Amino acid sequence: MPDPTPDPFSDLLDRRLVVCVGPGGVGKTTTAAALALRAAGAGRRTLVLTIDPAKRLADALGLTLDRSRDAASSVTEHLDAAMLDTKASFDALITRLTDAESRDAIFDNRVYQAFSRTLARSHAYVAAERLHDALDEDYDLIVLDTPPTRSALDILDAPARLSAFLDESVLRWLLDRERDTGGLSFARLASLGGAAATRLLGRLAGDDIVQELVEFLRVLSHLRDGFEARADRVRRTLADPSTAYVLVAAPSQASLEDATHLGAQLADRLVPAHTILMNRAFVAFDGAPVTHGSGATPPGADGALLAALREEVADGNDAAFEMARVFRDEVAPTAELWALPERAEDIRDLAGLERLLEHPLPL
Amino acid sequence: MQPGCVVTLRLFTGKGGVGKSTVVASLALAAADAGQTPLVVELGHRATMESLFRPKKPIDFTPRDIGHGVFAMNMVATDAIEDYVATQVRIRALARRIVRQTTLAALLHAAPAVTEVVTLDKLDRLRASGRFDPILVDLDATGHAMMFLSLPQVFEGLAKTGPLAELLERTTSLLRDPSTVLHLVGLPAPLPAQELLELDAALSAGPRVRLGSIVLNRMPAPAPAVDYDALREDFPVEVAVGERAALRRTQAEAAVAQVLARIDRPMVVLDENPAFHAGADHALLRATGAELSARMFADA
Repeated sequence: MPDPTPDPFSDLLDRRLVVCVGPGGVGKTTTAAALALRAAGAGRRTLVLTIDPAKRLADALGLTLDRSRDAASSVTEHLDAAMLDTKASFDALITRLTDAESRDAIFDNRVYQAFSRTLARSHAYVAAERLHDALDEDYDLIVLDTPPTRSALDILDAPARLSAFLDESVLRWLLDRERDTGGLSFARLASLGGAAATRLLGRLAGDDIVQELVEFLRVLSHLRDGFEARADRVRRTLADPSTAYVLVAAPSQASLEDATHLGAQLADRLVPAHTILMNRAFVAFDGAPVTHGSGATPPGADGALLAALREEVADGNDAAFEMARVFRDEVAPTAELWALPERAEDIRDLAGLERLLEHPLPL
Repeated sequence: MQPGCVVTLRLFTGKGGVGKSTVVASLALAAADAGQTPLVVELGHRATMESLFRPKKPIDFTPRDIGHGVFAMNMVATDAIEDYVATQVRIRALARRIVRQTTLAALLHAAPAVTEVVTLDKLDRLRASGRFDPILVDLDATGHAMMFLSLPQVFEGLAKTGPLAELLERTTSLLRDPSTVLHLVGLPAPLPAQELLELDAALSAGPRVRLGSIVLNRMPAPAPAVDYDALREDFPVEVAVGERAALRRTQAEAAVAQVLARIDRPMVVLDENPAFHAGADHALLRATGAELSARMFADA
C-alpha cells in the first residue's frame, strides 16, 4: 500500500545530482547513504559516491575496503555504491585516456606516483572524474559525498584547477627549455619565462625531480583536450540549478562554525544550500523531541535526579533547535531545515540506515 | 627560551567532532599558566581558535598573541609555500611574486604534496627558532593526518639529492625526533572507540612518530539509580531519558575498557560537560587544561 504522506525529501530526491557537504564527525557519509537508499526505495536508479565510510557503514553497503578498484557495488535492486579511492581512480582515468605506451610511462613516473597517492588535493580531482563517469551511466540520481574538511568544496574548483594545471601556458612555460638565454635576474624570475622557471624549480626542488616532473607533464599534455572536455562537463553539472546541495551539520558550536564556512563557500559559488540536515539534533521519545515535564517528580531516592535529567535533555533540545534556526537564518535563509533525532544504535545494516531519516522535524 | 633547547612538538589527531580543538586550546592555556609560551597551529582555514579566544586580529600565518599568553597561527597553503620559497631565494618580495605568479600558483595548488611538505618544514623552523614551547598542532581529520605523517614514505626514492631531498630528510627527522609526540583524541562510545583503535593500529604500523597519551573526551555521567520498570507507566519520558543515559554510560565504560585493553599508553578520560556545547569559557578551558596536562604528561 502506498504511503499516504508525501516524502519530505521528495524534492531533493527527484534531482539528478545531490551533493552532501559538511564538517567532520556529523554523520555526513551516513546521511548521504541514507538519502540514496531512500531514493532507491522509491524506485529511482541511484548511485552513492562515498568517501572513506566507517567500516560498519561500508559493510552495510556491501563495499569492500580493499581500495583496489573504483567500480560500484550493487547494494539493493536500485542502489549502487562506490567508494572514491584516489590512486585507483587516477589509474583508471589514465588508462582510459592513453595508449599503452604513454600509460606505462605515466605509471612509472615517480611524480605521478606521489601525485596520485597523496590524498589532500587529489581527492577533489578524483571525485570530479568519478562524477563524470557516473553521469554517463544509467542513473536517475547520484548522491555525492565530499571530504569532511573545510576544503570540501575543492570539488567545485577542481575541474577549473585541473584545466589550469594542464593549461597550455603552464605546459609551454615549463616545457619550453629552448629559450634559455642567460642568468637569473630578478626581472626574468618574476616574469618567469620557460627555462628560467624550470631552473628555479630545479633550485628549489632538485634537478632530478624537475626532470621527472617535466616528463610527467609532457605525457599529460597530450591528454589535455580530453581532460578539459571532461572538466567542463563536471563544472557545468555542479553549477547547474538542478543540482541540490545538502549541508549536513550537528548542533554544536564547533560543528556549526565549520558548517558556516562551508555554507558561505556555497553561496559564493552561487550554489546555495537547498537543504540543511541537522543530524543528531534532539533526543526523541516516540519520534518526537523530549519536552519539559509537568513538574511531577518520580518517587525514589534518585527520582529528583531523573526529573532533572529530563529537564536537562529538554533544555538541550530547545538549545539545539535555536542554534539550528540561527544557523539557517545566517547561512542559508532559503534552505529547508530538518532536524533528525539522535539514535541509540550504530548503523549496522540497511534497515538501520533507513531509520536514520525517520521522524525528521521541520524547523 | 634559548635557541638550542628542546621544544616539544605535540600533534593531535582524531576524527572530526571529537573535541580536538578544545583539548588543544585547554592545553595551551595550561601551558601559558605554567609560564611557557605555547603556540597553537591550526591547519587550513579553520576558525576554532578564533571562536574560542576571540582575538582582535584574525589568526593568520604570522604567530600572534591571541590572549591569555597563548600564541596561534593558521597554516595556510599559499603562505607556507611562499615562506619556503623565501628561505631558498632569500628575497621575500621575489618569493611572493614567484608564488603568486598565476601559472606557478596553478602548478603548486595542483601538486598535492607541496602543502604538506612545506607545512612540516615550517613546523621544523618554528621549533628551531625557540620562540615557542610547546608547539601544539591541531591536525586535520584522521585521513589527512595519516597522509601528512606518511609523506616522507610517499616520497622516499623520489629525490635522492638536492634541496628537496634535504627538505624531506629534515621533515622526516622532525617526525622521528623524541620530542615530537602524536596524541590521539577520541570519544568513549562504541564506533568512535573502534575507529580510534583502527587509527592507532595504522599509526603504529606506519609513520615513525612517537605516540603519546590518549584523550577520551565527553565521558557521560552515570544514570540515576531508580527502578525504571516500576516508573515506566507513570513517567514514560523520564524513564526513556534515564535509560538512554544508562545505555550511554554502559557503552562508554565498555569503550574505555576496550581502548585500555588494546593500547598500552597513558589515557585520560574527560567528563562530559554540557557547557562545552554552547562554547567554552576560559575558566572551564583552563581547569580542563590543568587536569589534562597533569595526567597526560605525567611520564614526560
